[in-house]
Amino acid sequence: MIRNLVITGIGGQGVVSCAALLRWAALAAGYTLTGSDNRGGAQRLGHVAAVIRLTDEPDTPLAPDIPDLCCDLLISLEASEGLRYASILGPRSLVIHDSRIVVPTNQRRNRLPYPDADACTTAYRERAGRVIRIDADRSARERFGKAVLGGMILMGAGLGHAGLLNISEYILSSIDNDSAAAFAFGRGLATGADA
Amino acid sequence: MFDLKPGDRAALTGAGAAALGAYEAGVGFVTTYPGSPITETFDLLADPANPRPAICRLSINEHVAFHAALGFSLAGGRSLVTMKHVGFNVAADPAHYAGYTGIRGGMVILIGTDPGATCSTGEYDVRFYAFHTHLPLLEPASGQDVHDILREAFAWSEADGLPYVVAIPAGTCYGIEGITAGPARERQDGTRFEADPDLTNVGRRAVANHARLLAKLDSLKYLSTDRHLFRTFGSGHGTLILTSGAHLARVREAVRILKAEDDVMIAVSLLTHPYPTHLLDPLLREARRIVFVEDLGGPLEFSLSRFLLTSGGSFEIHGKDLFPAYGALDLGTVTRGLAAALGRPAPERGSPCELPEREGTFCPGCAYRPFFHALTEALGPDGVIGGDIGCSSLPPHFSSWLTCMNSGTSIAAGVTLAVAGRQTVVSLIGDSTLLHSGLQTILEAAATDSNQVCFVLYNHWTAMTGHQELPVSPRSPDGTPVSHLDIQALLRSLGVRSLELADPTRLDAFRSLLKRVLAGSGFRVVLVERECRLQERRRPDPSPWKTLTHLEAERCRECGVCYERFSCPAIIPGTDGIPSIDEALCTECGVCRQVCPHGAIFAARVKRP
Repeated sequence: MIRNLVITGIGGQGVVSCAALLRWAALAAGYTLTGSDNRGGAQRLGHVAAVIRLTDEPDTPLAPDIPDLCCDLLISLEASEGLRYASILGPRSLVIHDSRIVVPTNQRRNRLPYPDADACTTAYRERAGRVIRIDADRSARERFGKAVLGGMILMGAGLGHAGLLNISEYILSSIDNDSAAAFAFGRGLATGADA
Repeated sequence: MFDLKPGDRAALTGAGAAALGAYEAGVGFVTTYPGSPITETFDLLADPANPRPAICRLSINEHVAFHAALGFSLAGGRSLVTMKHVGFNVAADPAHYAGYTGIRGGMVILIGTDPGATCSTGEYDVRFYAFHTHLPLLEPASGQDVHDILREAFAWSEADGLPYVVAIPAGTCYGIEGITAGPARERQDGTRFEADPDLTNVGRRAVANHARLLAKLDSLKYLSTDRHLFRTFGSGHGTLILTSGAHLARVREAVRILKAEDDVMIAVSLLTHPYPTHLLDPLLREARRIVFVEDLGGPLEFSLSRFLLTSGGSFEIHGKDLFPAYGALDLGTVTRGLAAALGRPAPERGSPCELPEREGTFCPGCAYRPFFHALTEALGPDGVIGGDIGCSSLPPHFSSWLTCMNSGTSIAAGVTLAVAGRQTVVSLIGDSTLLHSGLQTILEAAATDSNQVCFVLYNHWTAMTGHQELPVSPRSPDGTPVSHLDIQALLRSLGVRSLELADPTRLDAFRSLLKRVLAGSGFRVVLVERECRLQERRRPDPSPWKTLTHLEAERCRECGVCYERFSCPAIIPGTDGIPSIDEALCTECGVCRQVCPHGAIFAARVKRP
């Protein structure tokens, strides 16, 4: 079994932290893993992404990037950023994305258009087998008082739906109470919440 | 990382795996000039949690770092010097001697490369340096390889009397795998320098050293088998795929996707210079087609073509005709290139989505935002801004150019001569860059009275690469004041006569200063001082009060100054197009209140919960 995952968002949202947690849990659950981060925009509100490939067949050669159409789970902490990985989405893909759009400063400055959350959902649905949109950023602020927990909400939703329950259990056993509450809230939110 | 026992596995980046390998090898001295994507190796080894700490030094630049590591090695200790690929240009001069003179203690030069230029101003292929420095080059194929090679390369270096270069691309530096730790070895103690006439590399001795180096290199390739540096995969014979370590996993997966496992043989040598060509001989006997899969300039195809031409075989050779010499090589490109080489249909492609790029920008509260806001306003569209490496280059549109370290003031010096006062020329240089290689430029610009305003951007840290300390950092990361170099005295000692001090977060005062300074002539320096807001906010704020910033919708005229032009990320679109302040992102710098021309942004002091 090979599972191809991507977590993406913008600098400051916690993409690298979410990915580190997921990788630690995957190793603890006995998977072999590979992948790579794009951290060029970390701390600078630029594009950040983590590609995580898991397998329980350690002898299977796995590249650090994902073949076209073969993504299993894409979690986008900002509505549009996952679309930079659109070509790896296909019928087997599940996309979990936040409703929140952060318009890049280059578009703001030049008064140029940028897709809104509805346009992003549509673009994901044109490619992926299943798309779930969640107001994770808003929920994290309103329910937990911390915007940064939006990532945990989306992780909870994504891993539950992708059937990676053993990884979820390792994550839940290693995070603080606020994060665990956000993770569990995400898992509950996703149920029946298809866009 | 340091509490791992032999056989334990941990999720580590490639840069982290390098740190673990060097730690296990008993490295005694680690030095660097920080540069993404390889900074983490030094940061981990310098972590106070390291129970067997090496001497860890942040050097002023890569040239100095290289020499310090070489000196430690010449005195018998094991040294590691890390740098990014563009940093190797700065270290290139000493690197060209290290092979000639040889070394004593193991020395490893770890280079983080950046195909795709995700965190660099260029993506040039550092591996071609191997051909004229004559230093052996290792290219690991996985994070585990990075660990294992760093673990062993110090001993190889000692045995061979040569420094080893290990090059890993950003994808491997930031790639994360489960890495299995090995046992930690004892560090050598009691090292001392022994006189050696070969270290004076001049005249006949330089020629003799050169001859010795070439003979050594030629012999190294025969050690590849014992050192497990040459691997083959597959059972086919008609097509031989030669790849570099960084792309081995891509090639193997692509071959699997194309169902060509039985038709090809894949060979990878982790020692790419000198290449163990003798190990290719048996593979070439039945090969009719050779495919080189490598990124950028393709040093394997370059260096092995002559060997293939003289091998007596007859081959169809593919390489740079199928795999681009620019950008990062991804799995899709490798798969399609191999499909073309093998005459097989390429797999179905996904549907990309055109999305405008997302530029990096200044963090909320960064003083560079009001700095550029006021500077571009004062200069107008005809002004010239010489850009330099560092955070000031993040929104790329502000700089008229941006190339290498110290490109700002030095290129501006030439521009001022050509434009002869017809345009206003200013230049930028960060504090870290100033110390790295800017001092000579300032010295010359002051001595020749170059007609430009040089803004020295002094935020107290090497902020771009993770806030490493500098000789001019006035405090340690926890805020404790430390003895430091006086940057004003330094600038004056270089001959700067016109030196002004500025804090751009006091916007009106900064605008007045700009007006005055830009009206002058000759070489003028403005020391723009404000600590990096990220680092400042990491320290606990003892005040019981916090500032809440609020944008009053009724006063807003939707002029766009705060949201579009100032573009602080904490100013976000609100309802009905009127901006609002995102409290979660706001760092309470207060500048947006000064930016708003209509007085619509207010602040309130409230007690912290």
